[in-house]
Amino acid sequence: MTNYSDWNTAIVHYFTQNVPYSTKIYLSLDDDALTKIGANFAHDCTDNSWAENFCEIVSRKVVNGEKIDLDTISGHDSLGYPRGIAFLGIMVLAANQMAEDEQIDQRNYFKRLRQILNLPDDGQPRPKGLKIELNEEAPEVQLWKQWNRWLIRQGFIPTAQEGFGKTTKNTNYPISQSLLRNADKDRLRRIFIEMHWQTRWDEQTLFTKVANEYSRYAHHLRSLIDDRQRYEPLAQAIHETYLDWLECGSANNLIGESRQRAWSRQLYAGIYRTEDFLGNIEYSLYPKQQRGRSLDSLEVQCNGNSYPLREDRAGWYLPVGILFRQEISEGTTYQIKPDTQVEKLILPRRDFWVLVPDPDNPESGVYASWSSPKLGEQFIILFRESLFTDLQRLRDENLIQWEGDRENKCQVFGDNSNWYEIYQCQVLSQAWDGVFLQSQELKDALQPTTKLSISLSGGLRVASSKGWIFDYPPQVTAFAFHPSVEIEVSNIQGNSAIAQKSYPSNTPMSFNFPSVGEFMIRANCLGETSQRLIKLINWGDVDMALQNQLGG
Amino acid sequence: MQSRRTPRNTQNRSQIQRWYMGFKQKTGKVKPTKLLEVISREIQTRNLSRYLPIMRIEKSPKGEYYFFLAIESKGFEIPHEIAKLLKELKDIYFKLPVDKTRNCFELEQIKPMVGNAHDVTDYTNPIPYRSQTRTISESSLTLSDSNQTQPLDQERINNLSKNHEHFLYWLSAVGSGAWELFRKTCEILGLVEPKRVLRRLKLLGHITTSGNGSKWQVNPPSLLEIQSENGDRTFILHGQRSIKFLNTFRTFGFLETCNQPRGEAPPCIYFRLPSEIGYETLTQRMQEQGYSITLTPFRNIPDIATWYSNLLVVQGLLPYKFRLKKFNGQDFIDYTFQRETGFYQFFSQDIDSHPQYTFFYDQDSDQWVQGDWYGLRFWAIYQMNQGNLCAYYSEENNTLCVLFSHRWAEVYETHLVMSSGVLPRYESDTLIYQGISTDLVNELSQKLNISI
Repeated sequence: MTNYSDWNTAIVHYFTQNVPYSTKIYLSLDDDALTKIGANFAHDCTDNSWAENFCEIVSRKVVNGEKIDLDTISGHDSLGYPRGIAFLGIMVLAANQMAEDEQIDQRNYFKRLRQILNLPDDGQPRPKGLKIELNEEAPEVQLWKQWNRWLIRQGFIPTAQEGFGKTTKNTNYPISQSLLRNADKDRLRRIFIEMHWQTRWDEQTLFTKVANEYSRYAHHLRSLIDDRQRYEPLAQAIHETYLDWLECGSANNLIGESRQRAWSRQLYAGIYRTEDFLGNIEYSLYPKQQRGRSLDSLEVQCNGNSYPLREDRAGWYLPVGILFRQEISEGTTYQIKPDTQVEKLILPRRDFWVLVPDPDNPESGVYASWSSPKLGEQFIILFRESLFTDLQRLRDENLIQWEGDRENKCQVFGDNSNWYEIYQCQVLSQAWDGVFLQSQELKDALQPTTKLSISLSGGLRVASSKGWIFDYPPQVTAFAFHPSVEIEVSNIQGNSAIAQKSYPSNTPMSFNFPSVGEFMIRANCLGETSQRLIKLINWGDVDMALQNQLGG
Repeated sequence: MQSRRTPRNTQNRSQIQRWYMGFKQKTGKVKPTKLLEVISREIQTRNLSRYLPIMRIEKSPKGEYYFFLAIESKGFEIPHEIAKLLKELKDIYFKLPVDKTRNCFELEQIKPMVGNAHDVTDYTNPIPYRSQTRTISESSLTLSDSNQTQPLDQERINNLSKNHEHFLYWLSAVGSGAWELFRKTCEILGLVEPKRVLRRLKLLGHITTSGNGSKWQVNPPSLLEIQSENGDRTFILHGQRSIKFLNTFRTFGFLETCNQPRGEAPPCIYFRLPSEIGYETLTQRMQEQGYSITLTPFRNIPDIATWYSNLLVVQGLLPYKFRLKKFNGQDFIDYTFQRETGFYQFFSQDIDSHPQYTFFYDQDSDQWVQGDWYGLRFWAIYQMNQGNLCAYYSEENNTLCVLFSHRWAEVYETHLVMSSGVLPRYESDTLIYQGISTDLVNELSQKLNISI
């Protein structure tokens, strides 16, 4: 039997386990996610579905008579997780159940929440227990703020925020977390079926294919596709829907509530690039972990060798094998043993790879497909020759720049290869809308997803402690497409500002931190905000790590 | 060796021209953002970007505005697909051409009005491109001869020791990494000559590197028992350490710290274990505190020929791309490569200051090998059979003296240094190793074929 605490912990794991640090976290809980989370429990479901079980248990915990009682889920549990996450999850579940173009206001939203929690409609917009007292904020907002604070301390980027309008100020918290609503997923599945999309594309490729069918979507899905800030989580959510559909045999009778969802039996891989001191370049297979799922003792068969899959860092297994031109050109599928939980590792066929510096050790000289390039970050693009015209077009329009002149590209994989690299590539501008490329996928991958970001550079970092040595703090650069940025530096409680004024953007700045501890950097520019946590530690806080085997 | 930074020209696009068609529109009818959205969608859906790469809209459009479609074609021709697009959308978007006779413009003609494509949004402020200095890859194993030993005062030695100790804490926490990361961290901590720092840490048994020196890994903590003057057992600590680890250790025995000569490495830590605590008890208790500790593994000392045969062979090296110098027994002199066995320095053709790489060429096997700098020099002297290869051992003081110019390969020097936990002292042109047992000297002289 599951209880509230089990669900609360399991939801935290589902959304944060195997997720790289500095990732935006959306608490996008829906029926599919609940089915997968339930599948991780050690026992079978005692209700009709895990979603039903979840709603029943949360309702039993927080509903007292006809009133919601948030006191029962205040504070943190013994693992340090906020107790209110399962309740916040059910709030998002309600947002996901809103119809395609249902107007977002309090009445509509709480109608859905009441249905889930079996609360009667008392004619008031908000249910009892969530009513807003005079001059106070909505009772559930404290839970959202607690969740956001917890995410920041773990190194993630929170995304739940209040709305701008009076009617959406509070309801925007759960609605901002809802990526694909149930109706959107059904729409996508219809597209997959009609287009016979059975090639196992990766997230980026699939996103471009889906976006090309833009005119066939309702308002909500269109607005999601147009929102560059949600590009990566949306591409991931669409991909998960796609994998679910493939996992169910890509049949055309799975629309509706009767469908079953299971964890994908495929892992996907990026590529990992190293270069020795003679300039010899090697690419390795870089397997991605499945979010929220623990897989143990797996081996991947690659070019006649068997490699154990061992964790490199959150989200990634250690790189394995050496990739040759043919594998990268054509995409390859590798067998995984034992095949009881997952059976294949897929290196997708792509026309280009964007390789960014190691986020934990930017000086290491290693580049891999960890993420999209961040603002101001320099990266490498590995591409087929046919894309060079597109890249040159982007450069001609001052949207990107790379090392050397516009003709400068370097051949890889030997003299007869049609694969090239460009180095020290950087995105310069945000005005990509007027430029049309042959490869829309390339444009999607390079076009900035934010207008403002905080970058930390230099200093002496100890990744395992998630902090910098106090004597060697990092420099802070706020990258933005505006000459100045408002920056506030304060301690984690936010009650002591160390600095608060307008600073020039795109310029590294040093701050005098008064002591060891955790400090919040908040940047604000033209209504967009960004925040990063800096943890400063003493040498006494630095402890030994377990080593990986030395290769090469 | 794959080519790195070899520019290649793209396909010849000289026949294709980019030119512009211009149109007028009213904001009351179609707002610029809507226009951009619709035309973007059409271009993507119809896959026309190869003909129509960009659209530029008049800056700060008011009641009526101009917009221009960039067209890429031969001789200002309108590609069939574009003509079809213009016709289909004419009534709403392309009804009013800017020039009714020859609606054809160069960028220069319209630039004052529209600027670059990214100026479609007037608040754009591009992020400046940071052109980084091109770094020349250098092997971490490549050194140049140096025996400069300027005197240091005690305060300087203490500060250097502290910085090196901090560096070892950092290495212990990070675990492993690339040479570039090691080099950069040395810079941050103010430790000069990172290649020598790397070598010293290897000599002291704290870290190991891959055969080509591109990766490093800190060794797990281990204890080497040495002869003690009192009844307690005394060990030297090698490998990882942290303040917490040392504090835990201290609860079981007595720790004594001794700066290295000149403070050029982390201090040597001696650990004295009281007789009432067994070694097994110690390791078990440390394990309970989360720290695994072992005895320093016994090392097989290879003979010099075996050492050489195990060096890493370099593949794909093209000597003609570099300027070479060859070791003549004392110095490196300019040399045109003629496949002669010997120890070579490789310099970039256009940069003169430091050698990028050092390799040994073996004519018999036609192979280049890489190894530690002093080791390859020792092997070169050994091969020339010209350098009175000898050393002096004082049984009374347990010290071994080696000529600086005949410094031994790293693997042999590591045995000398680890046995005492202390780096050698410099005296005029000699290196002096202390705490060396007769057994070790005899074994090393035999393996190296050196008279002591």
